[in-house]
Amino acid sequence: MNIWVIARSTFGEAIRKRIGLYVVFSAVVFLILSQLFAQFSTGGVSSEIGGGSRVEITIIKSMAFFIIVLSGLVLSIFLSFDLVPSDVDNKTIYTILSKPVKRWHYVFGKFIGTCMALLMNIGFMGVALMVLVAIKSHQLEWPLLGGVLLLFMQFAVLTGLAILLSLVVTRNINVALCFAFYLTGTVSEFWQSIAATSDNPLIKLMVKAIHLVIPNFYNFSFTNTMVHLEKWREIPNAAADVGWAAVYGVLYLAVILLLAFTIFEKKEV
Amino acid sequence: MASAIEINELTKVYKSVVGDGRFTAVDKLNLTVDEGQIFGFLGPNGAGKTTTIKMLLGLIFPTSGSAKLLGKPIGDISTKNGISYLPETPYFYDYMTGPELLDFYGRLFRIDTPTRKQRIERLIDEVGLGHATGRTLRQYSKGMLQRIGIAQALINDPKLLFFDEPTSGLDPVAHIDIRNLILRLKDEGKTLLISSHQLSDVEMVCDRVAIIHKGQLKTTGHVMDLITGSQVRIQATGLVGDAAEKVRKMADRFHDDDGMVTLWESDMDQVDAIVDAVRTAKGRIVSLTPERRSLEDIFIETVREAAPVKPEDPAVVHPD
Repeated sequence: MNIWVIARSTFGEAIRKRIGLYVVFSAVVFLILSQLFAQFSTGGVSSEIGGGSRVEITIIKSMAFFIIVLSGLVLSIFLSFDLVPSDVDNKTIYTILSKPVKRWHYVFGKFIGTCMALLMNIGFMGVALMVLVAIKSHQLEWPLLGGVLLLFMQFAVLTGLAILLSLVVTRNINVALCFAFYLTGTVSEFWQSIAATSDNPLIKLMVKAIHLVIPNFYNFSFTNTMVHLEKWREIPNAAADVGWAAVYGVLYLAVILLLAFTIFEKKEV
Repeated sequence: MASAIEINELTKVYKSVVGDGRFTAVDKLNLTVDEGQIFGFLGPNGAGKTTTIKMLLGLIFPTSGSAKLLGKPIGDISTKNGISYLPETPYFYDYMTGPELLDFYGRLFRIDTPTRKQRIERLIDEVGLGHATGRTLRQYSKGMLQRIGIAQALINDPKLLFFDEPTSGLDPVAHIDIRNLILRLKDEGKTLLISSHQLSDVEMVCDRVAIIHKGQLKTTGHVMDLITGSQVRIQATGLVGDAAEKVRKMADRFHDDDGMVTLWESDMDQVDAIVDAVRTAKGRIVSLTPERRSLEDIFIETVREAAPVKPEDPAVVHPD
């Protein structure tokens, strides 16, 4: 199927881009450094758990998730903001759309290919984290991978957003908007609390509009829970929360992509 | 004979981003290309050739009018299995090698693996890129990119091909190879629409041509019919003053080289009248030579005959 053909070539192009290499390399370096930092912070005290203290492991996880979030943010935006515009500017798109390729297949293929590259990079960092924690605690914490997958979902939504925006605004505005949307969406709960305590109807309306348009990235953020994993078991309906976050992500993505397909169907190249 | 391309009142108007300015890139174009023909689509830069081709391929959308490719309306996705396009100065994913690129396009056509592999091997050899299979396109010269562009246009064994400047960037030997390839494609019963400024090539390979200028069709016809209409070159001296001006206006074209006036005329009756006028103006006929017109002559005449157009609104958005 053409979607898969385009996804494969997009994946191939993405993994050849140096930004991925730099980000993953930096992330691995930081992961290693986080272990050293954790050791210094705890004075090298060991262990209630395996060879590393609980505090040490918590620090490692916190730093690692921070690095994964930062890497994912950079990768999801910079791998996708230029996908369609560069094909249009270089006229590469002429020899694709002149073939029996539906326009939405082209956009969807680009999205899937980028997500594959993103999953590979984030997954690699997630596995590195799991291995590091396993070395410290002598046990595999599989839920960590679940947390990483949810982060991937978050960045898949951001990737879709970047592709949608690339069809309507310039590259610079696209990058700025993506960062702005991400930051706004991550503190969505904060905006809602402001609206709840405010009497100003304009503020309430504004927050409602923001909540409606901008993805609530906070929904995907289970990093705090993952860091303090034993507390996971104390949270009622934790699995349901994760499930709903995934459903929210898929639905939001569906809306973004449908909009992108519709816009691209009428776009002259 | 069935038509491979039918264009009916096809129009493309670009509107200004500010104000009411408009630019008509293609103006009610009517054109038919029969199956099995090599059709030359000619015009100066900005005439609307690429705009027309892009509309036919669904890359941009007509403002009005309609067109069919291989009997089906433009936009029908299934038709694209039987057509191909070589754009002017093609650009591809430069991280791929030549075979990888052909494989990518072959997969888009859903060509099965054994057929695809066979065709890739044959095409790479045919376009003379057998020595560069390991190189990425980033390392290709302009001529090599043109060759791989031709190869990708043949991967699906199309019935209808659109070639935009197919010999651009090629050395003379490759030039001849591509010309022979085009003739071979014609022998295989394929239809080609070629947009090219290499008029000598067009004259050699094309059955019919159309010349468009400022979005309008100016001339169309069989190449042999257009160029075998003879003309006479008249050289004269001693033509001065009003009489000389009168003689000059009688001919299709003239050229004055420091008193040696050369006139070209295709109407034989008019030739007699010009000779008489030269003598009346006390001029001297130096030579009278029958000439065969070239496609270049026809092209230049056609373009120069076009009415002057008022200055364009600077706010109008122009296509690339």
